[in-house]
Amino acid sequence: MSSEMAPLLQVEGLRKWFDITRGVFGRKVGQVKAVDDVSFTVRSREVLGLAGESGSGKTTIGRSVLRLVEPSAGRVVFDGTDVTSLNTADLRRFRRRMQIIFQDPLAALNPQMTIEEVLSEPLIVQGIGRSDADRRNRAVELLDSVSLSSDYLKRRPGEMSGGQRQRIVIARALAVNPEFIVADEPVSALDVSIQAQIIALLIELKGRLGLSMLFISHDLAAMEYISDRIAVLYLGRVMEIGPSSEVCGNFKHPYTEMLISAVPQPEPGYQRKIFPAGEIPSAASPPSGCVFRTRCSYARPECAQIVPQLRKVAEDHYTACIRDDLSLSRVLL
Amino acid sequence: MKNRNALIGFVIVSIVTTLAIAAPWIAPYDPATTSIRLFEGPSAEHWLGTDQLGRDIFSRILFGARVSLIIGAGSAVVAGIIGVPIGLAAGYLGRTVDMMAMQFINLFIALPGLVLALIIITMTGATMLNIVLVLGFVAWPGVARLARGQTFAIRESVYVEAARAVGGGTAWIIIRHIWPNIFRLVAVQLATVVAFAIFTSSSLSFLGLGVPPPTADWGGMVRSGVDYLSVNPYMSLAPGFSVAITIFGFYMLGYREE
Repeated sequence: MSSEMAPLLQVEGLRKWFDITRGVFGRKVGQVKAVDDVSFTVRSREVLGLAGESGSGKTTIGRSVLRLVEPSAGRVVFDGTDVTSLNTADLRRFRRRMQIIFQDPLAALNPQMTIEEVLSEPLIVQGIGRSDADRRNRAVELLDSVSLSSDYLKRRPGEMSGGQRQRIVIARALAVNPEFIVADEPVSALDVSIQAQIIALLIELKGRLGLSMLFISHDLAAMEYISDRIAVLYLGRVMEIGPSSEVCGNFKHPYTEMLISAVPQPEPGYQRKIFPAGEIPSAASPPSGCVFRTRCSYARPECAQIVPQLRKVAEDHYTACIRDDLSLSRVLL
Repeated sequence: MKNRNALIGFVIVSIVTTLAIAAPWIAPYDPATTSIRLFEGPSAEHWLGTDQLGRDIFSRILFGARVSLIIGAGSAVVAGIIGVPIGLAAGYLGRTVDMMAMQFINLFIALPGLVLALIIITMTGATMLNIVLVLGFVAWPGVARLARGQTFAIRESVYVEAARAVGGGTAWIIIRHIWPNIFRLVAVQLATVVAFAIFTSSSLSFLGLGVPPPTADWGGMVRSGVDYLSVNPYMSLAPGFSVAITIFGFYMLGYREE
């Protein structure tokens, strides 16, 4: 994959600030900076992983890219079109190209609708297929692409298992033949035994349909497996971004070190690094300078002064840490 | 528990509705035909006795059920036609629309329904159509508030977000996702509107602002019987009991855990 090629998706300076209001008249008393100046690209047929704890803004980024929430500032450019400036009619047409897979498949499916209705919805809304029969054929095709039989057409979400429901959610996203998919924690709500199957399905579909993907997760192990590149988020900012192998094996940011060390390792005698306990600070009052400094083992006084910018550490690999003298490792040396 | 309440309500409402529909065939006498047998107590010929004009009370009860049910159902339809769209709009669009709708709804809910109905009926005159329109107008805020609350909850659901993600517009989402999910609760709320309308229209009749005579009407029957309570108490008791049991039935049908 050459980095000179124009990216399919380009996110520039994305911000999403939610106002905190109080009282009947909605007096503004503060702001939550859920996403603060985030930039990244996704190349054609590439999977970019967005990693981070809850509250890191990764879900809001996914929603903003699809304009399911309106970004406060920044641009989302998809294949040359600025998604943030599309009007309602153009946005509707554009939704054929970008789709989303949700975390909790039970919540993502209307309990009243049969699977046939669920899979027909995108087709009707987008004006695909001329008749019910057309749409039924397409629904059967979609079920087949997620390895479910046509028997499921008449079922309702309540009559299915979690893994089957997630397959339906995936099939619905594929109904409009999108090029790009936001997968928002697609396996975190599923049983561990099912997770691998769904990941394998996503990889198979990606290869077969040539999909590009934004894969959002807090599970770095799964992410390393499926992603070409990974962006690590903390309090709405990108801490480190680079090729998966680099970010997971040769990480340059203390926060990445902390996340990686939290992943259980199947090696005997492995001793994980112990980090000071702590919660992610509130995005309503983020720390000054580097937002991670309050939990960082390597923080220095100047970390409170400077907001670190992404700096290049290797080809395609950037970190937002001012310290270039660290030797980070997942194991205790 | 809830199901048993609904079942009791369903049985009562079914019986009352059946009797109302079948009234012309099962009523032993014409409800408006007078006779010289005044103020009679219950007998084999007149099961519930006769009134001050010698009319058969049982037959008048059966025909009165029609009036009550038409007013009740009509008012519920009117309340639904006004309340559901306003509730859906307030709940789905939110913000300014919601704020304005809620102020309006709360204003209406704060006013006592009977008094409001009384004032409007006095101004417009008591015809069946006016009563239905007025009672529906008095009852819509409750329907709107329920529809708004339910819409609000479903609007935030992930499957509505999924519908937006595939390009579903406001009308599509309301018709395809929100309405099917709130329909049952709205129907239940409308059952209590029926009960309210029967109760209030009977009260209006009792105050002399109901369906004009000679139409057999339960509230009016109670009123004319009051003057003769010592002569023939069945004139008031029978229609009064009919109102009570019918309202009880509709409330049971519309009972829901708060």
